[in-house]
Amino acid sequence: MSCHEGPGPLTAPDPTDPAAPTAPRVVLLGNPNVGKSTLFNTLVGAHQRVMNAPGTTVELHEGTWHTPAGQLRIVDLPGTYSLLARSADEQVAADAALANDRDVVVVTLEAAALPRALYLLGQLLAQRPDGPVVVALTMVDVARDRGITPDPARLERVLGLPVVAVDPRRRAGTRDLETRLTAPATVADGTAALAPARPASPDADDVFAWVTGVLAELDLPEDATATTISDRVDRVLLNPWIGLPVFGAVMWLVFQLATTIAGPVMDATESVFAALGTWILGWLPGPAWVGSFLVDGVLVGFGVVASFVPLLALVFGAIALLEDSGYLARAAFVADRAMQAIGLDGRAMLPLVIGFGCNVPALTATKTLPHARSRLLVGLLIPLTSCPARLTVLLLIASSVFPEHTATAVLGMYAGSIVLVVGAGLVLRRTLFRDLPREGLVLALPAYQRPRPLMLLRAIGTRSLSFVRKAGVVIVTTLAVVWVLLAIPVTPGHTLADVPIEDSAYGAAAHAIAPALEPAGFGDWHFSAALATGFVAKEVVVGSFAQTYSLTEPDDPTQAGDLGAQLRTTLDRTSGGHASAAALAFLVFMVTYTPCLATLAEQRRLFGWRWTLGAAGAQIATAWLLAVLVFQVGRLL
Amino acid sequence: MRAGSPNAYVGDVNLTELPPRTRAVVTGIDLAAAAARGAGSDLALRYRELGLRAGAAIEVTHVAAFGGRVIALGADRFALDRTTCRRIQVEVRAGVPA
Repeated sequence: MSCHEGPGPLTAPDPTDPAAPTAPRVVLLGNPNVGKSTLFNTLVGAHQRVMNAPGTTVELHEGTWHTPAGQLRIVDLPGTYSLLARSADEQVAADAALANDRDVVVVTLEAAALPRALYLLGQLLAQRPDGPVVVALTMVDVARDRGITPDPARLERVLGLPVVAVDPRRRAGTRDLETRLTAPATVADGTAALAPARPASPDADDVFAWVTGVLAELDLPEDATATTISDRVDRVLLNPWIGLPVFGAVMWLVFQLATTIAGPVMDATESVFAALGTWILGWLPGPAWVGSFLVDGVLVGFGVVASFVPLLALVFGAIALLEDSGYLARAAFVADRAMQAIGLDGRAMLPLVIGFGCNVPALTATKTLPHARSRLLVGLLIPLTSCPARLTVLLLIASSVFPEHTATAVLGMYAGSIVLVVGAGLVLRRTLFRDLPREGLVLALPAYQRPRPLMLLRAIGTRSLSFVRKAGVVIVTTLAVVWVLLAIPVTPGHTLADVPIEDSAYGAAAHAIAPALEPAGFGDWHFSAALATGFVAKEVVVGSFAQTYSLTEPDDPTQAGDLGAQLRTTLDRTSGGHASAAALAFLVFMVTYTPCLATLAEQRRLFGWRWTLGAAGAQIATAWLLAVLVFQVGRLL
Repeated sequence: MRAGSPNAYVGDVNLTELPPRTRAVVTGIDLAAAAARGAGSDLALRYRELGLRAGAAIEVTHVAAFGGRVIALGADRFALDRTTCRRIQVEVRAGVPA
């Protein structure tokens, strides 16, 4: 099943190495959105894993295709238009395609876009004179709708390469492909009796000349611009007056999935784990701290990871649906103008919108962006989108300190979150991401297709499992460490796992951090402890306040009663009588700093520790600076 | 736009000036402004690789919000933003109805 492996060599197994995998390696190369990944999923099913290409954050999918003739290792490369790479993703594809002549490269040619697909094939043939190449002709039905009927047999004669027409969405043609890949002649020398005609050189002009020659021999209609069903649908969905509202409605639906619909399911999952914890504590023998550690330290981590799974499944399902149907490309086109404001293209909109619902699936949604650097940039902006988990804290503080203006304060914080995203985007584009050129949008629009439920389920399963396996480890480990800090007493008179927070190692750390928050007006251990808890999850910040003040957690954060009074009193004291300014500074800090542990874990999975820790450090520094600024200016007003 | 009918668009214009269902032939890609903003010389090659090169027959199939256009390039469809449309010089096929 799927997992996210570390870097591995992109070369074929060494037949002399007994430890090397023996299955032949087949590499899938093709333009983006030509059905390549669908073909991969159809061939390998669940027998796949996700790995990063060496030294990059570019994902490769590798799987095993079990055929009657034996196993084949299949690698799905990032889509590319050219072997002259213009991004890290394209470089990975080019390097892998040219890595080893023993690999069989399957080039997917979209029948409806033969000129640009043939260009990639021509480049490969020119640069890989000896390695076996097989052509998989995809989207023949789409081509037919658009007035083109390429004949695979004729294409095979013209190219001098094995050509197989495949429709992976209906599992058509996979047997033929299997025959071509497993027939000894094909795998051994790749060409059997066929002799491919190649471009004179890898030079672009020679490849273009070769493409022109191939197209001339195929004798396809020169000017096939028949109006298709997709064109008719686009006439509506890309109409300026209809397209924007439809786009807004789709984004709203995805947002609702991540919040209103996922919320109760997440709560139910947590309840199941809470009940499981109570049951375990009921029968577990031995010292109390053992049960406490297992339930409050370890099981709680599994509960958090499990509670994210339905949310992720819903959002991944929605993204896969949008992608598979063809609408995602249209959504990117409609949103493009707005995203240009921060130097990104329209494909960045969906992850950012999801971020306001939950940062974790939003990070995974960056996979819809085609280039590693764009994914990283958006992945750094997502933690600045304010998710609903922060809302309870905003409501608690705002209603406690300025009850007359609670709504204004909360709305202001959401507006501030958008300003932060735009501001950080502009700053990053002019500093760390100056290499991302502003080139304008040229986006190939795939034909609309009916989504396949099996494909959706597979996408959901692969992504969810990848999160559980990799991000889950970080979450469970960190929560166990937090339990240890909360359980260890640092003052006499307490025992392990039976200590008030203030007297625990966690409380001592909160006391140590508190002075750093004095310039922001909330230099108090209750607040630093709440912020530290918020680092794990914003949902538990209100509970942390209640716990540190030894009060009952309010059901409604806007009716905080004694807790609200305590918070007000503390802020009055720490701010020298400027509680409103200190409260506002705390809200700004809350909106700006690291959203939660799960977000960090997902960032680590996608971008590595260096970017994750760097980003978390930058978020905390920015949060502190903004909070200090707000308090220092606010107390003068 | 130069006039009310696409038939009047003879000569070099850029894509932003073409209404829907106009057929044209690409005469060149003007990347001077893009180069001034830091785009590399490989951008011109990428346009060619995608099929947007001199002599390519295109048809504007849709005009989207903010000046973007969808073009048919053979059986392929490309969404182009306004910036890109401005770079693509075309010659309208005289007499081809809108």
